[in-house]
Amino acid sequence: MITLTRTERMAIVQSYLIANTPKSLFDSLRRLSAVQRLRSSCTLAYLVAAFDRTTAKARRSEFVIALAYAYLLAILNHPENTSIRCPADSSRLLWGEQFEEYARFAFKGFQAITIESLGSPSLISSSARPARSTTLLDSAGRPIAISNHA
Amino acid sequence: MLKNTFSVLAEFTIRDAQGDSFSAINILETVGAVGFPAFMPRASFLTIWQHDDADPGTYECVASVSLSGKDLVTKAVQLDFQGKKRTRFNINYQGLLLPGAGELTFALKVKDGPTASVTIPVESQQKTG
Repeated sequence: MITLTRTERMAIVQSYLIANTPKSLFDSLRRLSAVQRLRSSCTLAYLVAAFDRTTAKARRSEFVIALAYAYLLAILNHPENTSIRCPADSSRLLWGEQFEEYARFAFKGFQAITIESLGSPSLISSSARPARSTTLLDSAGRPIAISNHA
Repeated sequence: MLKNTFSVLAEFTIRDAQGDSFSAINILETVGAVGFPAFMPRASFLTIWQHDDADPGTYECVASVSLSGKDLVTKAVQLDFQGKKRTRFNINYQGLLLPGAGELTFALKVKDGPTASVTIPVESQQKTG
């Protein structure tokens, strides 16, 4: 859970008041650090609960609606949100379903793996000469048998 | 339907975490080696995929590097769309040993599906001077 600063809340409301189309609101909110902070600092469950609580209010001021859109955007772009369906009821907002549609194209998955192919190297060629054998002889000229076994 | 929309092979790729965009640095078009086996310190194979909402969210794949049809590296991986319509899959290879000249192919093959691949020539360069 995080508390948005006054500046952040004002930026969200300004985005809502200036936006004249769903896409302009989507793009404007997406750029805000407040929305990025909501996304990275809050769990998905917390954001969904916050969205439900905000949109359930009987009296919806501009501030309440703007905040609800910010929550919705953070939900749609949340790393824990791995389903095609939005976990929140976006139809509670006038442009909610458009937001879902835009998010489908704007937000992309990402995977990265590293393969260390020399983890178990195999010998391809060798230039080493074969080891030379040395035979030790005793005083009588007979070869000495050397063994590590008792 | 699952579709590979873009593939690129580069020395390395950079992901901008804030804007979530990729950049490919030093795109590989050919590999020149004075002698063999040649060592390729790193390579990055970036693929971009798209599918429909009704398709499954994950796909079993095999990432491979082959030289003229002979596999040098193969690894089973999973392509995960993470609930999104599009996804990017970046495979970083570290330390490839190329035994000879030929056609070097980096591929990501989806089981019972499409294959993303890039092929570049590995050429022997003569020493001069």
